[in-house]
Amino acid sequence: MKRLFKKTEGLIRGVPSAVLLSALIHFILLFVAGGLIVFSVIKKPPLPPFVPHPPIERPKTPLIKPRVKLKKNVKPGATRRIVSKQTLGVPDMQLPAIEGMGQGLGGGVGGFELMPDSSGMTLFGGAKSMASGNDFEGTFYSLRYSRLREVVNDTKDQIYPIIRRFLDLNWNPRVFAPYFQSSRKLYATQFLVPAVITSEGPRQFGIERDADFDPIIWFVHYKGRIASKEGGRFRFWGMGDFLFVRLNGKLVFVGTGRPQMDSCDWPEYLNEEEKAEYNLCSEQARVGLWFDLEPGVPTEMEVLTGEGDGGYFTCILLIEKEGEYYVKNREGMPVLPAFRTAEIPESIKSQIEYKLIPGEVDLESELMFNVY
Amino acid sequence: MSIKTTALVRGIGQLALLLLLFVPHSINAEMRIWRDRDGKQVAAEFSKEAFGKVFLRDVTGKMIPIDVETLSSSDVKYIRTMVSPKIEVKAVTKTKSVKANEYNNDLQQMWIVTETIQIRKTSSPRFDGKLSGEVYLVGKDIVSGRYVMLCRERFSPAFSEEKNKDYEFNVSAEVCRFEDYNGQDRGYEYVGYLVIVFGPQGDRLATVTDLSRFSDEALDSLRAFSYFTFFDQDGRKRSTPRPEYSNTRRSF
Repeated sequence: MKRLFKKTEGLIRGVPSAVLLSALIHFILLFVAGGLIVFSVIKKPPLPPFVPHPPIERPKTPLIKPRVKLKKNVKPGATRRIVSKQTLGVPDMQLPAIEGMGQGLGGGVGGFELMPDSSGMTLFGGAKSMASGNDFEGTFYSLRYSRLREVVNDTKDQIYPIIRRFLDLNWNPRVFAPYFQSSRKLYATQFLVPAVITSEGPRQFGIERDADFDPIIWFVHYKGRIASKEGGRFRFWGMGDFLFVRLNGKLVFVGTGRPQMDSCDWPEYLNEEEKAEYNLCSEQARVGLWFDLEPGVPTEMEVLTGEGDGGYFTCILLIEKEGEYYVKNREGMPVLPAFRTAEIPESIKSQIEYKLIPGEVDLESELMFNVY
Repeated sequence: MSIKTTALVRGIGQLALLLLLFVPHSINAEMRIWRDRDGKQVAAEFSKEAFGKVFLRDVTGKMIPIDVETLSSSDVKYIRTMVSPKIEVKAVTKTKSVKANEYNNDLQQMWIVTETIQIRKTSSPRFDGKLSGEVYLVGKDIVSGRYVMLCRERFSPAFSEEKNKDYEFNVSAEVCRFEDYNGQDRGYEYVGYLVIVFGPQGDRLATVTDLSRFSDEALDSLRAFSYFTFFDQDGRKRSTPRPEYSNTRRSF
């Protein structure tokens, strides 16, 4: 141990000379490396003396006021937004209501829960919104019955003044207030009901066939909004036992049959040249007035459709765009697109086609009047 | 690729398919770890339950009987909710004519067809899980002969301890005959039903149908069709039959 200590002592004593040697070598290396660095000094040219720019001649222009046409009733433009609305995409866990032609009258017994099929849409609309704000809310009225379900009108002749008053009083639903109103609302995105028996109308709005309810002189008032992406000039074609359409408060289409028109003394405004020339389902097609839609601007639209004295109920509403070419059917009538604000569900399309002669309506057109 | 190689590959493929066909499979009998109340574990699949015992089959195929009472609570819950019971399914058809009212006389004859689906649990062990099922009612167009989906419903029977045997429910569809506005007799009649019941793990427990003219593949295809879709006997979607054109039309 002592010996080892002596050796180590000698090694420690030699350290300062090694450090000195190392420092010397580093110094020499630095000196040599410093000599290899080339410095290039760039000499900047002196700045020219400041000369101000000559003033620019600007011609004086008169002040132009922006051309903005202000409308009295300016409505905000359509905006895309997510609307929180209950849709059929989420199945209910409740027992389904007994409704709809052939949709399955599910009567659960013994703890079964029948889940409604997604085909819950009917020809009169769906019980819930399928189109997130693009649908028309339909309210059902029976002018045959009072609010207490007492018979107050027997024939459709008695209801002409009521309908006329409704139209004259700005489509005010209060005109129908004394009459029976269904609590169930339906949400429609098209108006295509080709020849169904009249009991289907009340039934779709929750009044069962077995109920003591005469399926005559009933009406549905639909309210919604439409918009055309590209805008343009349009007019409605169609037919129905009673069918009226108004846009932004103006009556633009009456599809009601001639006898009703005559007995009601409606103002004559139909396009005389083109009216009542072509067949559509069981009646002659009618043509409405041209109207303009600005691109993307939502427009209020209301539809009143209804049934007179039983039998079959029909309501067909088509749309024509000015300047568009349409293929003509064998009677010479243009095959026009069905008016709609959403895609027609396959099951509804099939039900419509089943009653519709080919070449009367174009169900495949891309023309759509959805706001959102 | 040479002809020999192609033939070899095809041969292997066919052999694999053959093997797959002969392998007994059951989604219900899944291999899992079972535990008893003392913490002992065994990897096995459920085979059956009888006389208060659960019979498990381990990886070697050996049957292991275990008292239900000695199983862990999670395993007992698994047996009660995830192991499908044995069931019998029956369907009873009733047809009722819809009385025409004075406002719709002579326009349309209509019938309501009601299928009463009865499900009986034939196995004795208690079952607290949920089954699910699908019902399809099929009609036929009288002019074109094409089949049409008249009703499609899903159901979910919830078994309770109090009533653990027979369950029934009704589904209905309407069929009709009418004279179209072109004077043509049209409509559709009822043909039959298809009922499928699934176990808690999605395994098919029962398939009951009187649509004997349809093959199994066709029956499977029609499950994809929405209400009022037309199709043929092979389960292929067909176009909707339309009224014939006539320039003289009946005014309603």
